[in-house]
Amino acid sequence: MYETASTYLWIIPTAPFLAGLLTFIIGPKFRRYSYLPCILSGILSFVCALIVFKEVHSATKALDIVNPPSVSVSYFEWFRTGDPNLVGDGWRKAGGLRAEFSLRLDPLSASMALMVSFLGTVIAFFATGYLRDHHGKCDPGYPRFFAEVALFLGSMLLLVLADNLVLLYAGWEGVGLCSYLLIGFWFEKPSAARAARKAFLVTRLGDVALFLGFAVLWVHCGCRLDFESILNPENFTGGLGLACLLLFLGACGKSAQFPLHVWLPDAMEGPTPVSALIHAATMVTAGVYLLARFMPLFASVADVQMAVTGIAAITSLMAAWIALFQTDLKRILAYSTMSQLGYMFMALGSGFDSKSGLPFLAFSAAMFHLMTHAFFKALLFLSAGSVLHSMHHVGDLRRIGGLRKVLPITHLAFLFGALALAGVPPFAGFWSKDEILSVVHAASGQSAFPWFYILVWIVGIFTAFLTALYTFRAYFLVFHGPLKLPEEVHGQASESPWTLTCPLIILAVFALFAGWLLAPDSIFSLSSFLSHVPGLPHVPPQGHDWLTVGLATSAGLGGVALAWFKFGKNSGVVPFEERTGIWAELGKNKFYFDELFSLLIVHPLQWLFLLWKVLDHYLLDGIVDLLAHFPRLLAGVFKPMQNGLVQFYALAMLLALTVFLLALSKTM
Amino acid sequence: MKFDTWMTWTNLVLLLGWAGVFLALPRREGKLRLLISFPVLLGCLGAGLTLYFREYRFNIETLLFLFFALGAIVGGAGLVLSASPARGAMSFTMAVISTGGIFLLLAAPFVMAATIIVYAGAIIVTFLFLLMLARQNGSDLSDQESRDPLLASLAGFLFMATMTNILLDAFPGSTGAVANQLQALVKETIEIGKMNDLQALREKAGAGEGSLLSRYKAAFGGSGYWVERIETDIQKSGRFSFTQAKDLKEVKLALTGLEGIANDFLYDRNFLHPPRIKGHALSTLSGTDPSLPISEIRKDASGKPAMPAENSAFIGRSLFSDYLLSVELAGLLLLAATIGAILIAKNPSARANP
Amino acid sequence: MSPIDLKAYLVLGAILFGLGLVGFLTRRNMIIMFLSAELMLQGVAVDFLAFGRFRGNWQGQSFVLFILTVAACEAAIAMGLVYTLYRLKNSLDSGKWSDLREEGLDSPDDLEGAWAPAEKPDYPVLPLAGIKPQSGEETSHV
Repeated sequence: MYETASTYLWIIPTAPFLAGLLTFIIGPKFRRYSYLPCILSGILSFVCALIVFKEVHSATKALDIVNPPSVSVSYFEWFRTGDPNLVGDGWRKAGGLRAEFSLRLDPLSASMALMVSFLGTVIAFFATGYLRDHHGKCDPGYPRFFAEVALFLGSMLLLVLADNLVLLYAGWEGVGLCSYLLIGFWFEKPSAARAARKAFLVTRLGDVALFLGFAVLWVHCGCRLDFESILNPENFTGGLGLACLLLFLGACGKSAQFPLHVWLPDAMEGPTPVSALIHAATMVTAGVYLLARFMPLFASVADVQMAVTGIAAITSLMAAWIALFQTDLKRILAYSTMSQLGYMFMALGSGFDSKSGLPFLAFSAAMFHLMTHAFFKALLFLSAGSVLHSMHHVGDLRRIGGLRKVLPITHLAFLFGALALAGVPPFAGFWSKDEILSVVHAASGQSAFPWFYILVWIVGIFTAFLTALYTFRAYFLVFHGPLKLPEEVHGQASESPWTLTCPLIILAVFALFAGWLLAPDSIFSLSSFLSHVPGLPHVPPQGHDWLTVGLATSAGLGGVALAWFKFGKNSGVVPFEERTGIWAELGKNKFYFDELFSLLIVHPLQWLFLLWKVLDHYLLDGIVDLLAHFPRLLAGVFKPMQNGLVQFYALAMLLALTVFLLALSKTM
Repeated sequence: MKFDTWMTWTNLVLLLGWAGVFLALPRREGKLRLLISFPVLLGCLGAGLTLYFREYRFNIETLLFLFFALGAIVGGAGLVLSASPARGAMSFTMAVISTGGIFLLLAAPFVMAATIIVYAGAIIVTFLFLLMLARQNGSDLSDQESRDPLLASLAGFLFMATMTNILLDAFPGSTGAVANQLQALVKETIEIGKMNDLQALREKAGAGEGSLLSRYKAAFGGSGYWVERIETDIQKSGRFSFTQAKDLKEVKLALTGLEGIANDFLYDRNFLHPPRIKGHALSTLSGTDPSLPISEIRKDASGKPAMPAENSAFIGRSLFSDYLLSVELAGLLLLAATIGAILIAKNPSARANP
Repeated sequence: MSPIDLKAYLVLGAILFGLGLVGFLTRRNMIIMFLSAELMLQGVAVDFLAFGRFRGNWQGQSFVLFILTVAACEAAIAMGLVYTLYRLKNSLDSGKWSDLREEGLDSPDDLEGAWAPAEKPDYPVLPLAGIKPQSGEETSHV
């Protein structure tokens, strides 16, 4: 089996990467067609991922000892320091560090690679139309966009396929860089440049923690970096709790969890396909993937898991509350993404008892939600993008409305996405959200702190209600009520071209069926496929937790219904964004996090830098200027010697020569 | 470096020369200065002649050398001192022709011919032509006014004195005679070194007039670098003392030291067989093997190494065997210089004001 | 008293070299400077030849021949340069050329202004052959 797989595996991350480089070089020559390398390489990656996925899938069915469904394919030794013959302590003291360019092939990475390459291709296709104006004229940065998207795809695929910490980190930083570049795609806009910088710096905080976490893992795991050794808690001499906490901090940065969430809403300054691909479907889920990948380690540290769940609950509730008060369509979706990521972390944090089946249930629930969320959130973003494209980039809910008739396909697509997000059966979100809440409920039964998980469970159900409410608030405000068009479009709004609607239709189908298909008791069950990921004790699918399912579904339906009464019927209630009161103010001002950060971190740093500036300008520069003055004084003495007369120079040479000769004759 | 009377006199001659040249260097005014400079320069020449005749036996070779050397020096002085460039150029011609005579004395007729053709024939003619071209409008003040006469002439003569003193220091007396004396002394030292009686050894090599040490010093001319070396290495350091030596071993060590200094000198002057250099670069077509001791080279009647009369033939053999690549490169250099000269001289005003 | 030896030739070479040096340092005329440099080369040539003679080989003479070649090249280039420089400043004074001096220094030419090149004398121009010169009054310079 693995001959085929290893033949195709390396193509998956390499093809988009090379395509990105190619586009950088020759893209500006062929502006209108510069999307071709990106999309073709995306299709190539997808096909290879499909082949690889099929291999893994058949291996899971065969359950063959010779061909286990989890294997590491090593291509070449990337770098090595220290003596390779030393092992254990000697190896560590010698500063041993060895990393191979090896890719991991197991159900987790195969399904992630398939999802990423598929969504990447579809969204890149969407972008080919999105980045042209209504006359078909390309954006000035057209080739740059596709080069960066291709680089992003390569890095993301490397991240999910990596088989050691170094390679994983390389992919991690690669996606961070591409995220920065793409948020700042319209860098002429000061707000976009500022948002890109903010995203880069905030995620950088998380990256530092991640790096430290990797270092702790490396030190305590006999200096090994490959997942085979790392993912076994028995290999560790200690430091597991610290490492897991640091890894979670890293994941917080990348996946926009409290308190490092502040960059994600601002990241919406980037083009909408970027928001869909990077800031909804793939990159922000890298943190979830990281924790899922390291689940065997996290399962053995229950304290850290509680922190994970707590942070996740706070994030999801807070983000849902803020989303309720936003007036910008993309911003609502951004907070919604944060909230949904919180759900996933909530599930991951519930897998704390490494002996029981809980970690596996938590892991598969989080991955399930990751998959369905990727599809329906990409769908929502692309629909929003389609709206923005038609409305000449006006996304303010107060200025648009009643677009149902104008944008029929977009309307349906957005509706499908919203239903999936709200958790209305049988749409995708219904299945996965229930899984997560069931896991949390199950965790409360086994934890030493049952009240904590019960609280989280209640928060989760309340968040489900809020989710439905804000989603359908946006839906009703945009698509229902009297027709409102911003003055930019001059009353000539029409449905987006086919390049935009095609991806919408594809994703809408997925939003409808993905949850049902991948649910634990269906034939394409994701959880039974993922059960072949080694390191976690597998349990068969549990019966449905009917209490949770009932509560969550009714919360979602209740939210939809409330939204209909408040906004759909046009009953003339005070819009949310104009309400007053402490909770509304908190929601409108995003819980004052930006202000808090600026007060606690940015301002003290600015004062410090002012001090440094004064020191630098007066003290250091003064010293340097003083030092520079001495040579000038000295030069004033010797300057007249450079008088340009050949004979004077010859005379000086002659005198020097005489001195040398005399000295030489003395020592002869 | 230690000054003996001979060196003192040489330096006096140079001092006179400097004074004369300084006084005679062209300046706008000062006829008196020019008048004083003549006797000074003449005195310098006379003192030099005296020194020369005190040093060398009077025969036809010394006379010819004197004649050509005087011609070269006077010609060179004329070039430096004459205010008129044309007269200076003619003086230079005289210097070149006199140097040609010196070349003849040095058994190099081909080089002499080439020098006279190239310098006196080509260079002087072109430059005289250039002078005439440039001097259509009378004399130039810059020819009548030297630059920094005091400092420049002082520096030049200081350099000349340094070189001369080093030469005289390195060649005490007549080199061949010194070498002969030294070789005999070394032989005697080895003989003495074979004795085993401390008392007798001391008597033979002991201090005072006629001792081995003073004979060595006398052989080196009584002063200069080599005598200094004997004094510091043998006399002043207690290690090699003859008189204070307690046992036979120390005296023998001192004797070996003396022998070593003498051998150093002989190596230095090529009288001994120096360590052979493996894979020597030049063939015997360029002359005898340089590692051959000079005493083994065939001598002519004057005591100098014999050179064949077929000068051009032998130079040709040397040039076209050992120096073939250099000859080709020299040809290339001439071609490059030709092209360069044409380019430089072409229409300079057009390049200056484009 | 001895026959003439290496020392005498070397001293002669040193004297020629030193005289050339003094000439190069003091004289302002570029042609005289060049000839002084050649005189220094003559002194070196005497040394080389003497060394070769007293060692009994041809290496000294070969070297002098190469020196001669280089001197010839040098003369050709120097003549071109001197003529170019003369055309530019209408003077052979090397002190007129000090453009590479340090910025802000005055010209080191101490003869500046002390002497101005005379106007070019008005030489008669030859007419084309066979044509009667266009002249006004017949004047006699005799």
